[in-house]
Amino acid sequence: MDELPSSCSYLALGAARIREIKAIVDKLDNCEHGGRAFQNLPRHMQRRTVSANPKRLPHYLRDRHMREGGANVKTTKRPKKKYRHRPNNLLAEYNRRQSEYLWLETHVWHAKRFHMTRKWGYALSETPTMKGYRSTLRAATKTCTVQDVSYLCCIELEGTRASLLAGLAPITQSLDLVKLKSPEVLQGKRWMSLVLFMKDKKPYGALGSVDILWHPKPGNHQDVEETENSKLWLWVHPSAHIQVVNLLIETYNLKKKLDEADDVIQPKDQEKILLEESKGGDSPMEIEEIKGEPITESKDTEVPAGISNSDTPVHKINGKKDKIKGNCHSTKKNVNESKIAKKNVPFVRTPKYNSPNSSVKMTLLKDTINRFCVTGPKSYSVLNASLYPADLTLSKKDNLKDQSWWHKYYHDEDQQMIYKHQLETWKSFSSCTPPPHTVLPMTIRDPRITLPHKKLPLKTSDPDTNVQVEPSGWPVESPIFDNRLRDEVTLTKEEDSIINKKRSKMLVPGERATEDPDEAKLPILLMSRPPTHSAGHGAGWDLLIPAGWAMSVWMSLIFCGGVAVGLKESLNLVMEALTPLPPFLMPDTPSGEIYSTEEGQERQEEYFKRPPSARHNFIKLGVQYPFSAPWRRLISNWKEGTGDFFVLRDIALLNKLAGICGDASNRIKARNIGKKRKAIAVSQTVPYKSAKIDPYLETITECKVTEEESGLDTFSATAVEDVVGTLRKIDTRCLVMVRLQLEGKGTLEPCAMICLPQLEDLKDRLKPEKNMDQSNNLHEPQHTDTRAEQRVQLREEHKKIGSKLQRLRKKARAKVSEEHDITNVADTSLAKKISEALEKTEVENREIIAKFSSYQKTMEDLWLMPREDPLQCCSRKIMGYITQGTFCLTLGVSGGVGWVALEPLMQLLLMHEKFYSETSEINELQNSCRKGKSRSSHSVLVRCPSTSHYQWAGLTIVVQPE
Amino acid sequence: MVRCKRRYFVVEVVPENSLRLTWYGLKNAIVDTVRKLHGDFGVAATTSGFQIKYCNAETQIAFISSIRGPHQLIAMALPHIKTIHNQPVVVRTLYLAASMRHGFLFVKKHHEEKIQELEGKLKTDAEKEHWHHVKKKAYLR
Repeated sequence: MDELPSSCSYLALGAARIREIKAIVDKLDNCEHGGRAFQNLPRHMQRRTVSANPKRLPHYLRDRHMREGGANVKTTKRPKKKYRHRPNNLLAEYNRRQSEYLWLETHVWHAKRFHMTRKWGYALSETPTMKGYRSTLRAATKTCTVQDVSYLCCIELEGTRASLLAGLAPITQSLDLVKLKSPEVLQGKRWMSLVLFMKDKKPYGALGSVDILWHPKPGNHQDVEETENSKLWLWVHPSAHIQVVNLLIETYNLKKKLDEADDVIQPKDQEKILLEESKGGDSPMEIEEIKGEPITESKDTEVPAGISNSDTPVHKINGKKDKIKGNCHSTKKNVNESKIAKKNVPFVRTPKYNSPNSSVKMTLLKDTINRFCVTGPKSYSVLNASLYPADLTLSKKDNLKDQSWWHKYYHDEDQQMIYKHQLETWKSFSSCTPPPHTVLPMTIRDPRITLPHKKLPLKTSDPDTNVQVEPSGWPVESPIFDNRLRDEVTLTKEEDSIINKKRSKMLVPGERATEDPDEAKLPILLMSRPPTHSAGHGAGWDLLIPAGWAMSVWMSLIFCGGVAVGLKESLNLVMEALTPLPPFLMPDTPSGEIYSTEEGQERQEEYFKRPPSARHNFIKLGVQYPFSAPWRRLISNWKEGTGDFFVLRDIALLNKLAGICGDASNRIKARNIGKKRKAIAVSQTVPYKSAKIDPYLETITECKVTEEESGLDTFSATAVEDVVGTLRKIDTRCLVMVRLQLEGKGTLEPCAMICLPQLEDLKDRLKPEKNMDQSNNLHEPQHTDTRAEQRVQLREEHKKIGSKLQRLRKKARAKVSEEHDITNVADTSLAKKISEALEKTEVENREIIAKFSSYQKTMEDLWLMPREDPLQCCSRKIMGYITQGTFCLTLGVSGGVGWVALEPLMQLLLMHEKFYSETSEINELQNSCRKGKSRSSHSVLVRCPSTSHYQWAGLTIVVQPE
Repeated sequence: MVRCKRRYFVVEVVPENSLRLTWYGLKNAIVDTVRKLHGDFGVAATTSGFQIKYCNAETQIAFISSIRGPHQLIAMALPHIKTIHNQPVVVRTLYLAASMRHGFLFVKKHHEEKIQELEGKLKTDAEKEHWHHVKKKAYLR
């Protein structure tokens, strides 16, 4: 008992306990475990709806409740369909959803049937949701396909003809310019497509092809005067739109017109027009704009319209607005109007540019004119079945002010004559094909009224032989060229519901209503496209339609037998029918570069998604660029230089080349002749191997067989040397578009390498003991994977770093939690401390973490061949790459379209020539037919990135890539 | 799914001399004892989910958390703990709780009882008043 203290302090004993009690009480009060905040309420006051609406909880619990996850309230389920689909909401949604990517007018129709992609600022249809490869090809070769290409951007240029042409001269090819200056094009009777280049950089720096259409001169006089004011439409692909606009701004020294300046400049324009009119007084009738207040998005459709006849004194109707009959629902929202709210309709809203002395004006008509691309041999009959020309014989009326636009426009007899002429021309096309690149305006009835009751099979209309074929001198004046009239057409469109009501009231359902004089009329413009393939593929019409009317015309085209296609199909057509290439497929345009890198990245991602055992080892296969083609490197490899290159667009040179190698579009013809020969010469041992062509294709090509075979066999060695000699003189840093066709089995993939064969390879083929399937014999020896060890090392290292980091973090966390005192209430929360400590360790070990996080990229690099390696690392030299390749249905074998450098192509030609001269004796011994065959096609070796086998493929030149 | 239940021992460490109680000291002592009693099996069975959740050096109260089941091994071992940090101690199990919350509620009640006891033992009025004063003091909060 001696050790015991005599007295003891209660205080010291109790204080610790009291402190702990306080800490515990505090913790338990603030404890966010062991029950949610709302559980503090007595049971009868707890509400289930708190989970949806936190405000139903008492205020003192709300804070804690929000912290416990009550804040992330799911915004209940979507409102009921009934509420979502109220007309008002639907329309608002329609515009909201296209805030980022603009919709075409046919978007909703397409979105229900197509996979959509977002490209170039538009939501575009890619491919139908149902299987469509064969059916669309069949449609394109046998009947008719329709594609909505309203995404093509229109640019209007206005100015004197001389100044416009002077501006275009340095940015186009001289040959194109000559074409552009031809009278037919200048009068607007022909449209043409040409390639625009950066200023003074030809032939480098191509921007892409544009379609050019001159506006016709109003009135009868069609003579071209240099000083006369004229207009021009340029149609540009959206991927090249910005570049082209910038180029035009640069060449014409344009400045953007500000919005407030609109009103200032407008009267000036008007004066000008008036002046011009007084000068050239012989123009019988002139539709001209009268200054009206810019149309705002007012609820009722009020269109400023005025008309002045040159015979009567010009009178201004300033600010007077005519209400269009039957379309003034002032209380109701106009559906049509809100649907086009996103587009630059009416005309005053379009962005405008002016040159300093206002000699040249540019207006961006992007999204204000719709364009459909109708392709196929039956495109005329589809158009004929769906579009009904309007009857415009008008009864004379004195008061023109209250009339619709067509009354005013076709009021004059001259205009009526012109219209009749145009109609006759249209009818005459049923029996004869239109001249290429013709332009034909039409005014049609409201397509919604003439819409068939249900989808009809395509009728084979008998050609109307009564109508005589006119010489190409029809007038091309049309209201579609007038901005004001186009706006009026758009804004006076009746609502669909009204038309539908009328249709439902018809006595016989499905009957086509006879034309009502008050029925709406629609001006359109037809532009014919010539066939791009000798079998007649790729021909068709382009349709220009004012804004707002696209869906109506589209439906009638579809109902009359047109097959809708998407982007993917149109790209397939490029390969199958050699339709002109859009600029994003031209390797030397900026848009092409962007597109190919994007596609390459996509392919790379796809590749690295697979596990390592399930993907090709491109190092072993010796493929340096398996995802996208390195054009610059290829060119600089074949010819010393900076790597700048261009696409060979010189038609004369291309024709010469095609004369030797064969034109790709003549391919089918040649093949069919080959087949005939096979039938005749039974003893022939080596016929065309894969003679299986789809039966439907034969029917198309049959007619061509009768034609004389072009002199493919007649080329001598001197001719080849000649061509090569001429080619040597020009800048050979260019690419040539070629079409390849496998001579054996197998497939082609994009990014397959086109390789230059060696002379021995060609000779080996002739040896009789060799199998026909040559591809078995030629293959790339396996490369050694020099990077395998590095990959293993990297992986090990990565693992080590990972565990090290884990250790460091764990340590930091443990240290903090050890120091943390639960009893100390004033301490900041543990989680916060831990996160701080972790951050600190991260900063300390920044280098390791950077290495750790860059592992994936480094590893991916190690799976591919090093970029520094020489390009020609394989046994055969690479000439070029394939951009598109699959099984080609028109050819019946695998085929593809690709680009080769010119330099190796010349080497190939020379080598083949050498080969023929050396082996002529052997050829004599064998049958002559084979010789003919091998002369007509120059064989190259093709290797897909996924295999080490080289395949033989026939190479032909595509003469008109655009 | 079956819920993983846990048990929390509320223990009081009574040192013979002064001892600064640390969680790792306690943990090592428990593991050692379990190894002594149940061998490697015991250690393996108990270590998963074994944790010193709370350790108050002032009042020498600690929470030992374990998965339900193997907690019996720990319960068996607790009375056999003789030393922590080479200091002779006695570990008293106060309570076996199924949640930390109830463990804390118990500790609170336990302390309150003890304080009541202390209060009862106060002899003079002055002391009582002083005590009352102390309980109210703000710095304790």
